[in-house]
Amino acid sequence: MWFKKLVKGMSPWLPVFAVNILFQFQRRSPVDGIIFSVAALLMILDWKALLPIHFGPRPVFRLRWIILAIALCATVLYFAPRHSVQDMWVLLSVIPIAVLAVYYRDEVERPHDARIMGRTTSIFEALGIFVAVVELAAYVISDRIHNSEDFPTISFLISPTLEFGWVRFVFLVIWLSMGVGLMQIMRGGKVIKAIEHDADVTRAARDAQVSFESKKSFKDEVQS
Amino acid sequence: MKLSAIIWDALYVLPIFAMVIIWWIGRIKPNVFTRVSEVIELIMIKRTTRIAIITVWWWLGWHFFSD
Repeated sequence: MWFKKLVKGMSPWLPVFAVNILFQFQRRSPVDGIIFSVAALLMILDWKALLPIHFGPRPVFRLRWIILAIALCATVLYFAPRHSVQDMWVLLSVIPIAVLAVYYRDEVERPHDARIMGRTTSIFEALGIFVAVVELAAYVISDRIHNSEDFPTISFLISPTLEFGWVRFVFLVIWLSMGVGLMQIMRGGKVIKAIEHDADVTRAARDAQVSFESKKSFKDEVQS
Repeated sequence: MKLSAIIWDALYVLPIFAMVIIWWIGRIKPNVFTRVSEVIELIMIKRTTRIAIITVWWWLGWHFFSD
C-alpha cells in the first residue's frame, strides 16, 4: 500500500535510470554515473513538484540562432581532436540549451488514432529494449571472457571508426538531427500556437463532455 | 571476422534497420504506422520524459566525443 503511494505518478524512466546509474558505477565510470544521477534527481524533483519554478509555454527559438548553434557545435566536434577540451566545452554548453528546450509546462495530448500509435510505439519500444539487451549481453560476455572482438558492444564498434573524418561527419549529422528532432526546436511560433490551440480545443471538448455527463447523472438521480 | 562477431553486428544492425523501415512506412502510409514526429510529440508531452530522453541523447554525444 505505502509502496503504491510512493511510486504513484512515477516516470517509468526512473527505474531504468536507477539500474543504469548502478551499472555505470559498477563499470567504474563515475562521471557517467554522476550524469545520470543528476538527471534522475531532476526527474524526482519534477515528479514530486519540488522545483519552485512556474513553467511557461514551450519556447520558440529563432531559426537563425538554431542554425548558428548547430553549425558551431558541428564545426568544433568535427575539427577538434576527440576527447579534447574543446569538445568537452561544446558539449557542456549544449546543456543550458537543452534545459531551455525541455523545461516548459506539460502539454495536452493531441487527438490521434490510439491503435496505430500503440502499434508504432510498442514496436519501437520492443526494438529499443532488444538493442539494450544485446548491448548488455555483449558487455557481460566480453568482460567475462576478455574478448570484445567476438562480442562487441556498440562503443567497441563505433569508437575506433569515429577517428575517421567521414564517419565522424555521419555520426555528427545523426546525433545532431536526433537532438533537433527530440527537442522539437525547429518548430516555429505558428506551429506551436496551432498545437496549443488544438490542445485547448481538445481540453474544452473534454471539459464539456464531463460537464454534460455530470448533468446527465444528476438528472437521472432526480428522476429516480 | 568470426561468425559470432558477424551475428552480434547483425543483432545491432537489424533492429536499427527495422526502425528506419517503420519510420519510412509511417511517412508514406500513416494508416499503418504513426509518423515518428507524432510519436516524439506524444512521448515528449511529460517533462520528466523529456529530461530522461534528452539526457540519454546528450550522454551519447558526451560518451563518443568527450568521455
